Amino acid sequence: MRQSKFLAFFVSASVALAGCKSPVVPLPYPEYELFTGFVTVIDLDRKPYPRILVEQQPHYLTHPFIDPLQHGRKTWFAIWPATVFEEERADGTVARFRFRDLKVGSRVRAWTGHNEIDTYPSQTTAARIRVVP
Amino acid sequence: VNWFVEKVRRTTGWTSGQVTHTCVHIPHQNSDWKLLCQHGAGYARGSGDSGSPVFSRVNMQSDEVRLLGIHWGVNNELGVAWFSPMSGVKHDLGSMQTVAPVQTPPPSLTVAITSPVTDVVRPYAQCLYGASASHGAPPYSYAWSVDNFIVGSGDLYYHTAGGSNFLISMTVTDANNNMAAVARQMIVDHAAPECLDM
Repeated sequence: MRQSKFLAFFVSASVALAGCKSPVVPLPYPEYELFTGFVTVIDLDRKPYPRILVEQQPHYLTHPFIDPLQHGRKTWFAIWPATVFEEERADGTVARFRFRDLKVGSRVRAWTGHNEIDTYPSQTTAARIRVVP
Repeated sequence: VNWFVEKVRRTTGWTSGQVTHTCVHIPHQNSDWKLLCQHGAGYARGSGDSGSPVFSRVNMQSDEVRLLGIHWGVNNELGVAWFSPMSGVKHDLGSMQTVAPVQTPPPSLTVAITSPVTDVVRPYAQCLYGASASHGAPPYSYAWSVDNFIVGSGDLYYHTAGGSNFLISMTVTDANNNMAAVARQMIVDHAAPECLDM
């Protein structure tokens, strides 16, 4: 009797685990804040993960003669399943946010959890995106 | 590690720093791949610097440099700039003219007359003449000449001066038949110091 109870628990637990989604792959490095800028592109077609372009000074176009040191940083952030989205409210509190609610023109603080590839715009993975007022 | 490397590129220009990481496998962006055996260094870099040649000087007195790799990115938390070593580039793309090793010619055969220590000898004095060959391929064969007449062989030779000045020369030949020669004009003078065997 005791054995059959244990077997039933084991089977039901196995079924429950099999039904779970695969675990979210963590980013390889601790999160590190890069900069605050404006979302200028939301690229949902990018594979395997969508990405957003965040620019410190969007009025400077991406051009070979633009100097990132003078004209602000521009970085593509890949949005992984592990990426955390937040919204900072006017009273200073921070609440969860959904990627699908992010809009071009939003001002965001951006954290990376990966290496940054030194193309221009640079490329990295977002650990955390916080929409700020 | 601690090797001093430099890089040149559009955003941060010419910067330098010490190697801090060697042969690190780094997760690739947006895939399960890893970049194998990458090197990290402390030079300044910026967005747009990807593709920079990373190099070290062959010696600090010359502009000759050795290409070590290609800069591609940074770990912001650690402050480490990453570059792909040329060994990996060559592994993937094959041998390239740009990374051909510098062909330094071997130093050529040389010979010196090492004794006596002065060019002045007393009349009719017997002095020991010594020669020393370097570089080239041993074993060496030595030939002594006085006033262009061959007078002896071996790296040591006793010669008795006459009453007048003379030219003593040494020709050495190495195992590859390379030859080198040196000559000394000897002055015969009563005031010369006594010859000392070295």
